[in-house]
Amino acid sequence: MNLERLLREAMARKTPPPDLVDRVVARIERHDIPQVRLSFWRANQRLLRVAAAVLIVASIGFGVLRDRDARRERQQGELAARQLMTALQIASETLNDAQRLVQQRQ
Amino acid sequence: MIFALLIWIVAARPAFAQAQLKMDNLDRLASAAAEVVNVTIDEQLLQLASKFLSATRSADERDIKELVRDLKGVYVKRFEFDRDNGYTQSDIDPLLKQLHAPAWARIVGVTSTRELKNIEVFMMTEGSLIKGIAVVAAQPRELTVVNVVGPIDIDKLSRLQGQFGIPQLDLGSKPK
Repeated sequence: MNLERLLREAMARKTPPPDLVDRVVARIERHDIPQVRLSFWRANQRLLRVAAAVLIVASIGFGVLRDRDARRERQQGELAARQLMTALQIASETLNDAQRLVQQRQ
Repeated sequence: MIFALLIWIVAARPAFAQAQLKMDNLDRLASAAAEVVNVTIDEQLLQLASKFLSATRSADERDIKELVRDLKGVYVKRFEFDRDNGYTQSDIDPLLKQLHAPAWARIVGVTSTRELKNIEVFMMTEGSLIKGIAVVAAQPRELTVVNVVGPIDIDKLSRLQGQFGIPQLDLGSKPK
């Protein structure tokens, strides 16, 4: 086999068949073109990006709210604890006062 | 079956609500008082407060945590006046009327003419269960009402005095 001859034949200029354009147009009109199937992720890339952004923002918002609630509960709890100690201190003082007066009378 | 169980649970639960005094009428004294302490802690708030008392941090907190474990409420009102007769008997009467109901028993009633003090201690019991205590301490320039709802150990409560390593708090003081 002569390599030089083969190359020359392969690279030789050929005239396309006269009905090539008609055939291509006809196939396009018939939708007879193989569809390139994109994966779900590639097809909905934009939507997924928006969804991811929404998810991140919602997570941050939820975290902030939870933190605020926890802080508020801690403040309420600490205040209630101090109030409780004050209330019990007054109760204790008053009871001891009563006991002292009773003992004085005896 | 479930319905019967619910009825049993509701019926078996001690009714502590009646040990809570209505003290709203005393609030009007706040405008004439120089210092006001008004503490209202219901069961829910007691549980929350209890979470913030550490049994390991100090002995005081451990004692208080244990003391309030089964309580349903702690209500204290103290009014201090700059002059005598900041309140009248009619201010205390609605309170005493509640305490003179058969459910309450006066366990201490002491009057000191020297110190111009009158202190009464009441207790509500059901069998051996203490449902609540109330203390009314009246002086010419000071009126203190304490109402503890729920089972309380009075000895433990009176032993708490002087154990608190906390500064006097200005809770609910009248704005100047």
